[in-house]
Amino acid sequence: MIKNWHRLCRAGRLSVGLVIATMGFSQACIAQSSDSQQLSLQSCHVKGVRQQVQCGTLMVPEDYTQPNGERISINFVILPAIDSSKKQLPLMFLAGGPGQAATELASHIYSGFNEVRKTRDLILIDQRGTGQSAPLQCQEPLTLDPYTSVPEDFTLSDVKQCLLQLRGDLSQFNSENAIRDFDAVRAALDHQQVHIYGGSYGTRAGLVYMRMFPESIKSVVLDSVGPIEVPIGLFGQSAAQSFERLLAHCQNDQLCAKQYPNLAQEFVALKAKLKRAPVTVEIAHPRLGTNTAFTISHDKFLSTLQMQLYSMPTRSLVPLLIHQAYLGDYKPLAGLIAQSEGDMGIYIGLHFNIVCNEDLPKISERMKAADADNSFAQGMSLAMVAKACSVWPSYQPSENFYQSVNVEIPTLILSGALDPVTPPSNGEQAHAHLVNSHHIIAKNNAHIVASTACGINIINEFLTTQKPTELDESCLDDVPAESFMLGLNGGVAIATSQTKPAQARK
Amino acid sequence: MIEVNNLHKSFVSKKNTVRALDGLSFTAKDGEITGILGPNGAGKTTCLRTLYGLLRADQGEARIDGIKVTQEPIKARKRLGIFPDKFGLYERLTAYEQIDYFASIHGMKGIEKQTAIEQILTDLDMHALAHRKTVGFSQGQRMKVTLAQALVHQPKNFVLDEPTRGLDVMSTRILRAHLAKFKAKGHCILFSSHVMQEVAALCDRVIIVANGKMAAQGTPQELCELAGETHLEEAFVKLIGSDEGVAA
Amino acid sequence: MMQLKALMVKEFKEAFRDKRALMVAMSMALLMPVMIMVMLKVAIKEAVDNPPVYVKYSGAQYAPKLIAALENKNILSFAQVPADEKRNWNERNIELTIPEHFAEDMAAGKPIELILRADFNEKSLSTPIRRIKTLINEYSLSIGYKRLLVRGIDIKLLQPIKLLEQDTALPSSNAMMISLILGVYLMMAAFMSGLPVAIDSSAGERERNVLEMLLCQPVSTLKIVLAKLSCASAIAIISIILMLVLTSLAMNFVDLTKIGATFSIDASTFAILLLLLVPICLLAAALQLLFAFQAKSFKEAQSTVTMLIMVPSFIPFALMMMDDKPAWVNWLPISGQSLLMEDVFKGLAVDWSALFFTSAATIALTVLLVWVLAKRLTSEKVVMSLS
Repeated sequence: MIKNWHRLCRAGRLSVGLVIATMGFSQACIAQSSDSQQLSLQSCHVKGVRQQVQCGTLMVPEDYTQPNGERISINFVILPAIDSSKKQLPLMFLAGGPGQAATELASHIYSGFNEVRKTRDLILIDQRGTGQSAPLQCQEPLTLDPYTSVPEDFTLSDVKQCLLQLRGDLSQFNSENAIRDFDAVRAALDHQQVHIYGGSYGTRAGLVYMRMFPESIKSVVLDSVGPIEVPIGLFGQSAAQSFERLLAHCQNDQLCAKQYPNLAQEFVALKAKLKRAPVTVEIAHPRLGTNTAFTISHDKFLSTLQMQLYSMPTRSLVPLLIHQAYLGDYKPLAGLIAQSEGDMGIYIGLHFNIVCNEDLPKISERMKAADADNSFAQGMSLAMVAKACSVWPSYQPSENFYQSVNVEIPTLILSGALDPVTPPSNGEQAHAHLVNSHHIIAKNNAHIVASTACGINIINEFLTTQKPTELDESCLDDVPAESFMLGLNGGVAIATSQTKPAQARK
Repeated sequence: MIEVNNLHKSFVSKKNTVRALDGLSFTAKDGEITGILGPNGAGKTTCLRTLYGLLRADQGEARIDGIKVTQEPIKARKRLGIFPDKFGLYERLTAYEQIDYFASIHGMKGIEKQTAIEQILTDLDMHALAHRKTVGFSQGQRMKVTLAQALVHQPKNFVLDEPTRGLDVMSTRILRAHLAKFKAKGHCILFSSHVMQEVAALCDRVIIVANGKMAAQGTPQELCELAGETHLEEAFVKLIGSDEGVAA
Repeated sequence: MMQLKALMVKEFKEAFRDKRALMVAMSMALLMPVMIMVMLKVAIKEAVDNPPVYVKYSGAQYAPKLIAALENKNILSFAQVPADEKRNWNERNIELTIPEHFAEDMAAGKPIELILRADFNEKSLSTPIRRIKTLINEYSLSIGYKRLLVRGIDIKLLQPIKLLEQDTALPSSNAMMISLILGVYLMMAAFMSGLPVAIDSSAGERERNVLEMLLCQPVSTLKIVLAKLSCASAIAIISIILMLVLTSLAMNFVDLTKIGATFSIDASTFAILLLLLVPICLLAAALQLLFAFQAKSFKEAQSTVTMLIMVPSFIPFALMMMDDKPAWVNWLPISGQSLLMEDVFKGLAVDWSALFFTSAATIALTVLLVWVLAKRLTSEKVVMSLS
């Protein structure tokens, strides 16, 4: 269902190429706090949540080695527990990206984590450099038209332009300082311990948190893991694998196979065609209705396609998308681009600042080559990051940063088998180091397992019992595979459906 | 001593006016049993209620040991022991609790109260009853409880309103015996009744009330002489001027 | 003082030994938590739980994806109904007819007409029918959205205006429904619980001929009234405490979070509620005694005093109807407490001045009533009706 597309599946995205392709920067207001007070907290409303929640800011040093130096304001939101009488420890939500602002996901989390919120406060903190915590955001000089522009046009001068707009000491906007901020907020809110949930890049943050302040954490949920051992940006193999599984699912589905018998070949042909030269077609502007040119390049097509691999509902459109494009009809692609226009909410400055300094330097040429050796987008996303990073100011992460985390905190690790960016192998890496952890792989799930009710229930059970190995995972079997859209008007299904019927619930 | 002086009392309702007391005067002396004898509706109960301070006389006054009831009702009542015409009991309390309750209302406490209660229980031979709830008590047992609660504070003056109504012979005898004992101790006893034999047997003086007025007074002997009759009953009928409402 | 104590001890002894009256007094406290619990269970079931619904399909084979979507929401085929529920669902008889050309029309983009046939007036069917309708609408809409999307249309065009609601109520006011019920019930408990005791100790004592004896005793009628008042109001207070405690306990058996609500009475709420309700209990007892002494018989007392119950239940509803409340309602007895209780349940800060004024007003009224009653007991009218 369409409305689900906006849901949690977007909670944490690690993809970079995609971010650039749909760069629609939202207005970000810079928090101005003349308040000398450390912590301020008041009732407020956040977008998409009808109920009153708590908004707060905490003043922290920009550089923790200079406690009396420059200070920045860390913004956070508390979604209060429905029933606070049980006095349960709160759950701190670590957003993805890097570069997503947790508070901007409030409405998704509010509904998505409803089961957890019944008894626990949810703490959403804007990581420094995002949201209203000294955001590192680039304002495009011209609003980039997502239909005419292509990622290949992205130049270094764009990056330099962006850098000029950023304020603050960029070397302080690193993961470790972000964790120091989080822990400062925890302490300021007077919580001895918290549970943490990290999704996507948030798992990386969570692992760093576990290493730096293990005593602050009661338990951890790592959903779609980006372990420290696996640098962010190496998505070639995982995206290809995710895509291949999609193709396989279509071939296993009698109807999909009948409708799109040559999907893989069509994809290869289309890719080759776009690689030779971008295609420009005349379409009605998806939003304005006026005629507009729509340029489709290789990277634009693949990055949009890759974007659809993140969640189950969007995956169901992929065969149709490829087939129509193969026939020369790019309107489905335009419709999807329209869907995500102005919806990314990635603070690109912070994103590059972290990826360029903490991850890219760890990627060797050999790793790069191995990752690019795939049948989907080859080295596309990494190439774009590398381009931006070549001019990005550098800092040296601390020596401890790349240590594997091995603590005894109860940890639940979740992976989606179809994940295009954080495959189950990542989860395995983390699981190997964490003594008291359990790794659950959801079969019919892409990025972020918490995007399904089943995933949330498992998380909630873990938070309650604290026993990662004794959870009821049976509901995962009921999560259906993609229900592919088989024509421009929807289902042409006549024979039996692929979807496994849900069991009668009493 | 109980003095009643020229009491007038009328009850006014929409339809008619009832003249209940019409200048009634009498005195009940200490050490005597005074009986008020009168037919139903003669004004006996109204008179006694005025004495308790429940009703206010239109004219005249009642004094108990010289205390004006209208002016200091509470002080006057402290000197009264009352045995009402319809004695109800707190049926969820035991006899002992009930007596204790009235003793406390009269301001008794501690050992003094306990001894007084023990005394009255012994006097009335009701130890066996004392710790039973009064629900289901026989009429005689109820009378004893009522008597005990009226007398526990050893009142100087003791007023009984138709006390023997509904009592069997044994109970009546106990009551009589007790009244005689009280009289001997010098208490003032005022006794209302419409039963001749009782009045004749017990009272030192009889006040005959009719139509809210005193029709005659004196010892039973005197009254018989006054009416020229040998039986009090005959005297009574003659004195009130009719035989209406006389119970045998 | 000693007299008063003796009077009170006697009243309490009698009240607590009257098991029947005590039962009646406490029945509200005992029943109401159960009632609230059952009501909430039903409400939650209606709102959140998705018990299976069994539909008689015809043509299910033409739209397997729709059937799967229905199944996913626990709307199942009649063929799957368990034997013990078969008769029920056969009677309910919800029929959904899917046309033979469903798939062709879907592919051709033609409107497809499904027929939902049931007794729409039958109350037990309203929730199942709503669920079926909602699901089919959602399913239909999602296909519609996708059709536009793959035609290259920004589906956000379908929602030109988006209304963002910002509720200024505090989170705990989610439990308003419960609070409202509880508020009314507490008020009624304050008014009713002392009732049997009040009637018994006034009209009842008169009918048992013990009142006259008492009035003849050297004790002021004020003390008598105070003793009876304290007993009747104490019973009411006990009943309220019992009700609050039991309600708190009962709420543990209901998962209110399912409907996004919570309910708990903490120590301070408890204290404030008591502070609000104790004057009401006193006032109620005074009113009951006044009316009961007025009545000619026990029976009459019962009927007139029972009419008093109208007062506490009527006032909160009247207040709800009033949109613009004049300031003085905050200070009046009963209405003031009702409004303050509403605030307490909403989790708002207590308006101490309003609390003070309304309590003072209530107590003042109680004192007045007690005084009137004490005077009345010395009046001849009361004495004359003794026999």
